[in-house]
Amino acid sequence: MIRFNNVTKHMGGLPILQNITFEIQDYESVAVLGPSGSGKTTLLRLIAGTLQPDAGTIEVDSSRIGFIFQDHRLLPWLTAQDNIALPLRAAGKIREVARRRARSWMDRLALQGFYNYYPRQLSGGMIQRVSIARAFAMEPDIMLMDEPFSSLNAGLADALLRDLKQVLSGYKATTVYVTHEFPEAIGLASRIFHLRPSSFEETLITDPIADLRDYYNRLLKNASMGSGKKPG
Amino acid sequence: MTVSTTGNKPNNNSIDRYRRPVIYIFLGIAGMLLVWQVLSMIFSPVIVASPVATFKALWHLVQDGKLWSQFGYSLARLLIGLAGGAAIGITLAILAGLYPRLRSFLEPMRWGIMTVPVIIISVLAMLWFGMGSIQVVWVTAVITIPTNYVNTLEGMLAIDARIIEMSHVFKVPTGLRLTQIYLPGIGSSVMAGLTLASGIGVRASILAEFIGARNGIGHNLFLSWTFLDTPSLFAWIIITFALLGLVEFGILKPMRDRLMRWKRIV
Repeated sequence: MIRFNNVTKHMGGLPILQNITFEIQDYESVAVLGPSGSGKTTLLRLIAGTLQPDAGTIEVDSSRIGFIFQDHRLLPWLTAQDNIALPLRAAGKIREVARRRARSWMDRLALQGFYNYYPRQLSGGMIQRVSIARAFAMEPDIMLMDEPFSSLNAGLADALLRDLKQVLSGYKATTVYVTHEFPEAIGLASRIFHLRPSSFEETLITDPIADLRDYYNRLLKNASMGSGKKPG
Repeated sequence: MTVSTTGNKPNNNSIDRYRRPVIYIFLGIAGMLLVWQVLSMIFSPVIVASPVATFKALWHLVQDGKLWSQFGYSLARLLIGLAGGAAIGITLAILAGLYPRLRSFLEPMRWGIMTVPVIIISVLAMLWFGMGSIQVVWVTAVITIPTNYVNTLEGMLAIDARIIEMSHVFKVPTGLRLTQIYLPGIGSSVMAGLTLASGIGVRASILAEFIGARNGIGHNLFLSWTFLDTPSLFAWIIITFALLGLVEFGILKPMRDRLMRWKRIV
């Protein structure tokens, strides 16, 4: 379980999150939606424990947290399998056991044969698959995903999102997915947190198809009125 | 579960920035020999010995066996000094990279050592340790500590903070963080430091031998200089080049090849 109670966080003197309160139950899937600079990544970093709140309390009921970063953060001097094995070795697994599990996750993500390739030898899509495998291989209770496909082109991002959904469907974890794309959020979560510079709202997704239809209708309406703005 | 592969097959082109075309090294040597020959024709043989006279003197040193023992003394002192300077400089830099307070504490010492001329460190070493190997090793180590320290510290500070955050998210313990993140991350900087330190170390150890040892290349340079035996003096200078060449190609290059292997693959 993840519980935020009146959490406030400033970065560089500016208020990023103000009095945020929410609770995410075990195995729940939540998407965090918001424009750039609204504090989405800060929220994930607070959950991961790499940032501490200025005010309020945070409870995270797990010791195993997986994280898929926007900018993969693979170590360029380690091979793909050793990058995936790193969190496993951090958890106390011996190198060979960690590598074996890394290879099995690479197989699941269609990376067979690329075990000993360095990140610089892999394409952008393959790199993000390695990043996904690294986060899942440690079998986390909580999976945090920070716009993992935003740096990829639309076609590749769609393909990887499908893969991620497949992996998530066979995996039991509390997931928090940060994005600024509503369709992505609706496809992965049962609840959406709308994060804006001055507000925080929650939406429960009861009928994803109707919500998507509504989103695209509003998108078309905005486009026909000459505004390129995406509906939130 | 089936997942389609996306992305291109990796390639293994051999674009290698670390490769040094050997032919140009020989051309450089030929250029130096040419300039040397011209200078020897302009100046008196006492001022500049010709290449032929120098190589005759070198051959004489090889024949009477003196070269190997003297080269051995200098090489051993240099290697021990360099290893000491590297061990201390790199270790302190890693710690200073991890602990900013230690970094501030060490700054005045770094300035001090970097500012004091080698001759003063050598004279002090002679005062403390007397003439001989210990003072040469000590001078070499002390003089190379800041070079190793500064380069390694730059490498530590240049490690991407996002990588460090990733290691915190995945709860990578300090030991594993050191071996898997910091040490490989500072590889280039360490090698740059060691390469610079080798050149500085050779100069410092030869100077320390020149004024404070009874054997070694530096001491023989001193003898040749005292007796105005210019061909022999030039021969010992060439032997000094060989000393640095041995360290560069025999030790540093294999180290660099191993540490930077991941960078060479495209």
